[in-house]
Amino acid sequence: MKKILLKTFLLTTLVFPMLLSLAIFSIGYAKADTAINVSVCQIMNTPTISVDNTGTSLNISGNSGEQTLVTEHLFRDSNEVANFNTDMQGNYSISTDLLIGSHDYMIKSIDGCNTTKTSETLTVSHSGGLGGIIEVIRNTFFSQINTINSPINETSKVLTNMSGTTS
Amino acid sequence: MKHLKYLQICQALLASCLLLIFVVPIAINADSTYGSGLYGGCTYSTCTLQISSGSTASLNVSFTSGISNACAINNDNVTVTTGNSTGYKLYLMGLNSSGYLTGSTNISSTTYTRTTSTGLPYNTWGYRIDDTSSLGTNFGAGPTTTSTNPNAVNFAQVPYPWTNTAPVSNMDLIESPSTAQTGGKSTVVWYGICADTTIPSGAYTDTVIYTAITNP
Repeated sequence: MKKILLKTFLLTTLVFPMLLSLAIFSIGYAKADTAINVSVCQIMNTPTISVDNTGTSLNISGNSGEQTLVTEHLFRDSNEVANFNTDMQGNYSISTDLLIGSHDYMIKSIDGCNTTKTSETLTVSHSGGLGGIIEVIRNTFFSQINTINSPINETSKVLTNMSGTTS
Repeated sequence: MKHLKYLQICQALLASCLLLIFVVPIAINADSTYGSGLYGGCTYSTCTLQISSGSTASLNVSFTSGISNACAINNDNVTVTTGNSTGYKLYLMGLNSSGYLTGSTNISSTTYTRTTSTGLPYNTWGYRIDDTSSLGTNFGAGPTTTSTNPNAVNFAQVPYPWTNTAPVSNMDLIESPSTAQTGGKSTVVWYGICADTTIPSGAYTDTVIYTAITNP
């Protein structure tokens, strides 16, 4: 008798509220969803490009042509050698090998709307041979150590061994 | 002994009644289709409640030379059909947990609400509906059009985040007819965005959930 009373009690006090809560959620209720799709397309100007060197590597920097984050593609002699993002102001800087000889560098900016603009082409001529040897000797003579990556006569080195022209 | 049998019979009857009252209607009304459609009947299963909306609302922000900011606006149409004689309430809420339009960066929702709504600040988005002063908003009567500048008319934050358990008190009420809408009642919801040149070009998205609930 007690067991049956207990079962009845549990049925009414525990199961009933659970079923009631389920019933409340089943009243007239409907939902629908819509995707809000926004495209933002900024105006892109022609990207800028400039070069500098440290004696062993070539630094290429400039602005994407947009005042915000853009993907840049670096081309050397018409072949893509790197791609990277600018900062949030559109500025970029990348370091690459300082190759012997004459090479053309160009930056192509592509934004999130697939707007594409290319920079002017910059030709970098870097000669090896006697001039380079003399320079290394000169730098070593003055500073004794750590001359290659941080040459004392940087200006002389740039003027002697490298020149940049645009076309 | 006889009393025991009576109690057992009563217990069985009680259990059966509870099942009939609560579980069976749930099973009949359940519809798990997500997106749009019929989710349940009215309180006494004498009418239905249906809702539909456009699958997407597209806004294209295009900049013009020499101007450092731009806005875009477009609308979505929500239609609710019910035979419930006391009507329904229609609520709106965004899915993103921070109220953002997400992309290569996040575009925040305006911080203004439906009662404090104002022109959209740059690099924010929001919603508006026309002529809803009866719902306690200050959106203004409109009419809003696709050439309206969101920077110049009142917009409000899309409340967030929508979850399966989000209470309607956290959502924004955007429609509340008090009669049956057997032919379907349409509500136009406008979405706007304003951006400056710091927002990267690209695609940004969020999802808005509309919830309709029949009035008791």
